[in-house]
Amino acid sequence: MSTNTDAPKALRNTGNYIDDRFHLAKTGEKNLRKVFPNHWSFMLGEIALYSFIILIITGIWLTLWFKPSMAEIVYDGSYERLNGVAMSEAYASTLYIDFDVRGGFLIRQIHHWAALIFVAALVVHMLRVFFTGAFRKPREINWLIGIAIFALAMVEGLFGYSLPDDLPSGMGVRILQGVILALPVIGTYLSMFLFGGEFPGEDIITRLYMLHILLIPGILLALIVLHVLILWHQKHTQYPGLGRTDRKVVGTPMFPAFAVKAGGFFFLTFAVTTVMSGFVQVNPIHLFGPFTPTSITSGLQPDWYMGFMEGSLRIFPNWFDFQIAGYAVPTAVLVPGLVIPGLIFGALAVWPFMEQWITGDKRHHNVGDRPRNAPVRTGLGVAGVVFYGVLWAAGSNDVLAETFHISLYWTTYFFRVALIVGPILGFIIAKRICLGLQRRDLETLEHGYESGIIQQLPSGEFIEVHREPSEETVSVLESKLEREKILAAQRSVTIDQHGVESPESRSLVGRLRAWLSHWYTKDNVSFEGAELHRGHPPEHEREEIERRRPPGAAEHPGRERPGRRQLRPGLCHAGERFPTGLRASDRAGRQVGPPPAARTKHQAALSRPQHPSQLRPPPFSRETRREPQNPPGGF
Amino acid sequence: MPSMNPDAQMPRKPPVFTQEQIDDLVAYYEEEIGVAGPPVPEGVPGNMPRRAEYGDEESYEEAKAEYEEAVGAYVQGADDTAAGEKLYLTNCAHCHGWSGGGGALTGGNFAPDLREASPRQFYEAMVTGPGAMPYFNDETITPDEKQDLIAHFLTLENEPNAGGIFALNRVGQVAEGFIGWTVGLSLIVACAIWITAKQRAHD
Amino acid sequence: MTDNTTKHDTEAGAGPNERVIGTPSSAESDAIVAGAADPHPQREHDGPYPASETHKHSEEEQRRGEKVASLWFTIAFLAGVGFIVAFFVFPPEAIADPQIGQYSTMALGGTLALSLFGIGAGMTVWARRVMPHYEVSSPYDELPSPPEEKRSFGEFFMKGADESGFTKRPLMRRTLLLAMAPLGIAPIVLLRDTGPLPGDKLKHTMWEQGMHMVAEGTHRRLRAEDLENEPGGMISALPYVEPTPEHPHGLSLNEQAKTSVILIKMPENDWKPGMTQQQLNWTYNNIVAYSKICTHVGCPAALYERTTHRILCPCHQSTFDAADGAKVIFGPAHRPLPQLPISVDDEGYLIANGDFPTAVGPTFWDAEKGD
Repeated sequence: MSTNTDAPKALRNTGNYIDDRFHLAKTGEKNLRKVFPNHWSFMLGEIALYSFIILIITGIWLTLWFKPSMAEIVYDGSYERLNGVAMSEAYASTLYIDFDVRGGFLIRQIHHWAALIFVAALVVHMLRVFFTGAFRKPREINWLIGIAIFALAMVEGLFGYSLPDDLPSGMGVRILQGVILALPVIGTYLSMFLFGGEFPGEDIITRLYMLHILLIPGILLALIVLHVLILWHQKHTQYPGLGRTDRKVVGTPMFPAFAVKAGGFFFLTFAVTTVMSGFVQVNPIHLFGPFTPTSITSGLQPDWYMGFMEGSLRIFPNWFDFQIAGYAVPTAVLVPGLVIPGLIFGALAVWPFMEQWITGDKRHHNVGDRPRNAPVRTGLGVAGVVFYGVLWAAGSNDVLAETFHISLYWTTYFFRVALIVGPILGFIIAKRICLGLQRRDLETLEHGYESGIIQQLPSGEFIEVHREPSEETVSVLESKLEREKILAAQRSVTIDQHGVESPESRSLVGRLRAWLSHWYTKDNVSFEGAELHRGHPPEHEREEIERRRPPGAAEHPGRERPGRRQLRPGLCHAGERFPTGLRASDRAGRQVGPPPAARTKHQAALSRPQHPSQLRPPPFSRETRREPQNPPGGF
Repeated sequence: MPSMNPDAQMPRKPPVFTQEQIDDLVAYYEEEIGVAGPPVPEGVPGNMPRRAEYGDEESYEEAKAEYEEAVGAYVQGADDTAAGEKLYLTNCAHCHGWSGGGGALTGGNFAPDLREASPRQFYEAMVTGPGAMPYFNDETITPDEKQDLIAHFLTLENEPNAGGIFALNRVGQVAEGFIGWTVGLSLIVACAIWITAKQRAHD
Repeated sequence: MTDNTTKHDTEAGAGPNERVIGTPSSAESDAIVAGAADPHPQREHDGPYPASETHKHSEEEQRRGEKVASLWFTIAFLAGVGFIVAFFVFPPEAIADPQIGQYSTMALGGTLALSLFGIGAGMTVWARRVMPHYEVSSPYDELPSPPEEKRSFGEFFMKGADESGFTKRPLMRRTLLLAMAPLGIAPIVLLRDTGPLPGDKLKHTMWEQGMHMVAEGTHRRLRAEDLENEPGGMISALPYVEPTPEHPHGLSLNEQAKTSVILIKMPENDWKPGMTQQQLNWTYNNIVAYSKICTHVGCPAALYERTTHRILCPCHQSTFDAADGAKVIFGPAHRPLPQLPISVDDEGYLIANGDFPTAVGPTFWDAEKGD
């Protein structure tokens, strides 16, 4: 096939026209060559971006008819069932969109489903970034922007949900007002100013409308653009694999392939949202009836992303309410309404800096961690997910109680306990699973896969043939070594660059840091010194492998194949050189670590940098390392 | 009947007795044990005919059509379903929900699903207060207002879902969130997996 | 900046795929120069990215891909036409009927979704089966900037700052900051007229001595004997006000939000000892009136269980004991539901005996403080 490198005249003229004015040839090419690593989980943020675009398009369309007015009217429109019902103009105009504007019902449902999917995509995108450590330097700022987008998206959703002025939406506003009123000293003022008087007043929808269609989406749009620009500038993180390093990104270039893929994905996202909107009824405000402050429905819930707030309002008890000189401080409203979301978002925002402080890891990272290789972070993430999930489930405790015929109060008690116990269990279990997976990875590296083929050697010995992991797999597994460099670096937390225990580490904060650092890194299945074993290919395959080995294979340093080889050269161990500092961390470790006798064999298998001799774990001897089911296999 | 556990709330079950037997039972109760319950006006359609009580398909269909016609007439007879909606939302929805799907009460009890109830069952429940339900007698809510209320509910219940055939049982936001995650997001992620799937011959 | 092809992946059976994947020798180095790393420049490849091992899909495969993609695009076209047809098939008068509305929504949604999906699927097939698949590499930015660049910037910036005099002339700097201060406060001041000051508005409602009450949703004034015949009756009630054209029910939503009560007829013997004499005096003939608005965050708490006398708020499950002055027995609310003192007038109509003794609705800072 011939390739056309001469641009057609029309295109050339356009290009020249633009370049004459903007001098874009070089920048343009550079940007079209931008590389995006391939993985489905890297598309999660795109789902959010595309949902946001869908929201803007449909939202603009909806404003053509929506009247953000709370003027009370008696409905006299084409939806017969509600004729003669007193309602606000906002509600009536929403009915108009639903029943008088062709496609109105569809577009309103697209808007609503897209909102639900938007926030859901934000959450899974955020979890992906968290669990792979993609928030680390140099991407902390973008992480913070992401948190801001998440928080704003929730508020934006709440306000949008409130606009049609139907029964549940008005209750959402009522609860919002209740939380505002609970604020000490300023609460009543804030409420009066926001609502233009008492609840519900005649202004709130007009004001929420402005916030919903102008202010918050404006800020959101700016933040999202900034988020994408920073991503563009810094380039996307990638998962470990062949040729992927902290200095080099491997993936599909923007032009032509990625642009087509991303464009296609926009249409696919839009299509899924639309097919749901066409067939699954969402937020049927015409069935709810208009808002009145005196009516309520059972099973009242906010949209899912406010569910955790609803849950925390439900399960937080009134035990801590108190008064100051007769003035009420209703902590049962303030804590779940403000402190708990503050805690969740605060913890998210602080974590990248916290982790950096704990580990002392100030390097740049462009290759994501495999979650198993950062067990404490993964454990904390799971704990956070469980915490959020319990609150979320508690937000529908009445539906659960009704569905499963459980006592309503018992669901509350259960969630109160689960909120505390659940995250702890989640942390422990997730961390254990991570360590187990690490051990399996090491097993794979050292012994390959069990093939299930039994072969008799000329000596008469039977062995099970182990298959060598592919080079790709090896490079993925080896990424753990990078991680271990970081673990090694953490020792610098207590030692200054001269190898002397830093005075800082003796202070209270220093000890805390050393303790946290120890806690963060103590459990780890070290890969260092592990020997890659090719396993035992059957005789005929051995020849095959020889034959297939490309001439260029020797180019790779440290890749002597076949046969066993040492993984990358040993790491730099600050601790070995600076035993003084080690004692500090050792001391810190002893404060929390279980006494040696209490350690199970299982724990003992983990490398604990507690004693200088343990620092570099001895290359695993076969006696301790080999699992019984893995026969020696003729070394 | 009989209830196996007097503390647990009885769920709605298909009746074991025929209508005739129930009528006899009620007559016996009123005669020998108790006083008659509050009156229910004529013209409030009773129970949906049950197939088992009719010998052949034809007479059952006839009875069913008759019942449906009576319900239709009852609903048509209501003059102010807007007032009915107001009454329903103020006095009923907090337990039974906006769509009549029921809701949780304390102590493991629940407000039952209203969507299978006949107009007469509505009416009787209001004036007799089964279980934990308070009474709404004919003075606080007059028979005409009760008719409005029932008509509102039946109209709402029978209204097709303008937003699509899957109405998620009209549960509301919990079901919507669940579907948004399990169907919406999952389908989109499936598309993402398709787009980014590895194209390779081995490994 | 140049890029490197490090790897290619091909679909099963395509081309000489037995070759072991190659990586550039300079895997650990950031100095990637395509020409140098590529031992076989332009081998079988004249795409935009210099690549040693890029395989195009075979012409036959590409043709198959093209067909599939075109099929999707054709489906998208037809569905798009269908969307426009569906728009006109259901006229605006017709969609007001929920059943027709449902058909319209499904027809529009189905065709639009299919059209969008067709475009998306076609593009995906195009990218996957027509375009060659390969991955290229490109260096991440070296962070941070080299020291000399940073130093140069620092010097430049400080010289500029010096020149401007901002650092050297404190009077000017401070007066400028001073000048900004009122402007910074102005936007907050400007928000002052968004609403009135709370004053004691939240503490009082329109209930007053002698006011009649109506069952909510009706215009009928309630008499005590309406609740008489059976203990365990309940009804939501509002103050009776002559309807105005502006408010057909006589009350604005603001007033409804504060005055709404539930009337409960309690069985004589079910009152609990916790009820004070004053609270019992506020009842009439065992009819008690509690505010319907939950003291937690303001949902209508109206879920009254006749058997347990619990009043449950369906939002957050605060539970109040109707037999015990609506004290909180479970959940997050703190204050009891305020009780409205009631009695009857000469004709037997229920009337209020004054306003609620405490503030209704969500608890606020001075809710429990007297006037």
